[in-house]
Amino acid sequence: MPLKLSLKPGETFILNGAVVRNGDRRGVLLLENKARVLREKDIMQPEEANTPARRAYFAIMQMYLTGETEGPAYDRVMRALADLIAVTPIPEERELVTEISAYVASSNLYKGLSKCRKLVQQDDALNLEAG
Amino acid sequence: MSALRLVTEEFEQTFGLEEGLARLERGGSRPGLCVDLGNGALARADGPLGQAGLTQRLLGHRLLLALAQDPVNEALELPDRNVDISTSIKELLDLARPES
Repeated sequence: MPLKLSLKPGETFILNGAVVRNGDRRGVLLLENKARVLREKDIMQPEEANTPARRAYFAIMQMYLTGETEGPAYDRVMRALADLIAVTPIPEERELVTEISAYVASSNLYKGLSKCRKLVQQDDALNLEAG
Repeated sequence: MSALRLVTEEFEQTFGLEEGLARLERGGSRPGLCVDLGNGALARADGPLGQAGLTQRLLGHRLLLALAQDPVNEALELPDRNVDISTSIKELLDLARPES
């Protein structure tokens, strides 16, 4: 089943290492086969990787964008996840970090990235509450 | 699904993390090794580094599971690490910045 991407005017996404920008109208793209796609809202810039959860997301995102699943890229992700778990007191969040690790270890980077995005959203909300 | 994948799955044997690692560390494990990490996460030696890559990933995951058992040190302050970013990814991300 193809993946349908509905794009806003000027919206950017990354497709298998190419940066693609939509023109000045709304657009719809259908991806007919499996590809590495990252939408603009899910792209994190290096300066936004400013918490342990965000650094973990950034490390997994890099792996996903390059398609690397092991070697130095994997070590970078594990360092970031180890830092994250060291400062994560909430049991449910620790469970989520181990789940993310399992997806990365099984080379399912899309799922790992999705789970990590959820963690970043929770973490951002907590940080906002804490002021 | 390719014919090659079907053939591989036919001979695939699935193990838990510890048994999978033990088989890899003993050496001589057959190509059809699959390690079930839970939640549908199945690890196989399907990357460019083959069994060495699978071993790296499984050891990393085991380490993280061990760290998850440690109590949290509330006073711990992490060093302010800079993000490690490759040149090619930096170029990609610069190009992907929203138009202002």
